[in-house]
Amino acid sequence: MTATAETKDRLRKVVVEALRLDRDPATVPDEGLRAALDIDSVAGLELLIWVENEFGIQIDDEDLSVLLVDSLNVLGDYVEERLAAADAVPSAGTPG
Amino acid sequence: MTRRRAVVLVTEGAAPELLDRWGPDVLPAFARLRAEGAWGTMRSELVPYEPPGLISAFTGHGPAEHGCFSYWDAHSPDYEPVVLDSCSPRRPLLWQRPELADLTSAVVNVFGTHPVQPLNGSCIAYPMRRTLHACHPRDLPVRLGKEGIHPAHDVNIWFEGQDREEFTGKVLGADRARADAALHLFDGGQGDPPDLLVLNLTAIDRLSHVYWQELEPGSPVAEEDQAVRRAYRQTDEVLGAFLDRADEHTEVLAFSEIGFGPLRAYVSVNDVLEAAGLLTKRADGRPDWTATEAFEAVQGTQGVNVNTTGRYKHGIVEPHRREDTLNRVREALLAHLNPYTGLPLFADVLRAEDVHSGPAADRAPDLILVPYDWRYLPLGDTHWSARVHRRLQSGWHRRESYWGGLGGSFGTGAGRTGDPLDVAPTVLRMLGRPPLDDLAGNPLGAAG
Repeated sequence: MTATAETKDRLRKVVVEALRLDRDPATVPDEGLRAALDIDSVAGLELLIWVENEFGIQIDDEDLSVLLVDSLNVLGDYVEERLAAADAVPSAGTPG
Repeated sequence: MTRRRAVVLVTEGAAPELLDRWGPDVLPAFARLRAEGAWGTMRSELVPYEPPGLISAFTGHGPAEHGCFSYWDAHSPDYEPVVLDSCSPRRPLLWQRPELADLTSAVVNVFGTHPVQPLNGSCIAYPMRRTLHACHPRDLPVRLGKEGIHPAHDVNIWFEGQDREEFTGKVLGADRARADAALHLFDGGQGDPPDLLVLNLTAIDRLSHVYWQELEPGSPVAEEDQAVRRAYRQTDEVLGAFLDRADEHTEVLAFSEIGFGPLRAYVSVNDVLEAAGLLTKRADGRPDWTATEAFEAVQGTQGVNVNTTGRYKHGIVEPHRREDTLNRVREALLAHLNPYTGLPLFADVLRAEDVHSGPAADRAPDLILVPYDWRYLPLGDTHWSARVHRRLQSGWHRRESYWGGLGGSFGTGAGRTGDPLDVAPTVLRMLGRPPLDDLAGNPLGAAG
């Protein structure tokens, strides 16, 4: 699975906002985010909280990994998987 | 009825000697609190440690009632100490009590609040593991972030011998951010201002553990650059900001549940037990549980457990032999000389049942060790001691700290020696609430 360009573009904007970066979101690279943006463990967790909020998903603690904050492709895939899983669950009040 | 508000600021690890050493020139807010309010000594329980102290303070019940003697359970059946959390205390925290359901609260960075429980207000919890979910409401970090406030949890800032400035900066930055968050919440930045604000600042404690040596004669670090002094100064600034908010309806209580002092070395109690024939070690240095009668409990409990059948997975001491084992452990430890000083290692070795009485007393270690010289302390369970790099520390807790209160209910002047148990009834009085009959302590205030 490969994250869509739309998802990655939204993620780029979240990265810039969450990490308070003074740069054009379009310049956020797909890979090697930690080194390129100086993301330490504290900043990484904060970024993921903002991602949760942006997409309305929940990132389980068991899923936390360095890769999630180092690769837009991995993070984008994860986000889309969570969105798809949420869509597959009948909402409250849905018959059946 | 006029609405009353209360601020409770925990300045974890504050040592009275350092508050005196630096005085009003360096710590003007502490001096103001002392001059304008009530002030006294806070004396912790026998073993000064954050979890029992904080949970006692905010439940109003002692460890034998709430069951928290450390960050970890002292008696895990498989010997691997399990981290305690918000489900562990057997008594509710003050802001969770049904009698105070109408109370709005903002609680920031208090051990025992994670996993975060819903409350009438907001909470930045104190997680013991890396997590994204440590706030109520859940999106609070994003809301605060949009205000330029970015709290971080201590569990993500760990000392492992890294560059001093890097670690100090992160610890101070985390405290500054949680103080900014607390002030923002208190001032109504996220809705109605809360009745009760509780903020636990940890920089003094954390930097005192690691950089206490800078306070001692011969240190190459200039006084104004001492990491511990910087933590005190920043904490003083935060205290000052809250004192400025005190008025006829708003009172401030500051305290620490633990004091601090120098540490020279940790001594492995398991080594002493091994020499006495009470413990057998495996090749990796950990106890061979199938051939061990007694072993050192997890750090913070300052104790020894008997490897009893029925309680532990590989217990070998039958209940009818427990008394004999306790006696032999006690004799061995009291006879042992501190290899660093040639003096006794322990002033006393107490049975838990002689110290604790209550429904959760069985969560205490079987024996509690009282150091002869508080600069030489029991190492604690080797697994966690290694994980937290305990041997890199140069400072450790002491029983004496301070409390200070500003507001009409406190009066002005010196007060009695307090106990963490006194915090909960003090908060109720600050808020103009009636006492709760089950609380063990009494409100703090000026004598007379």
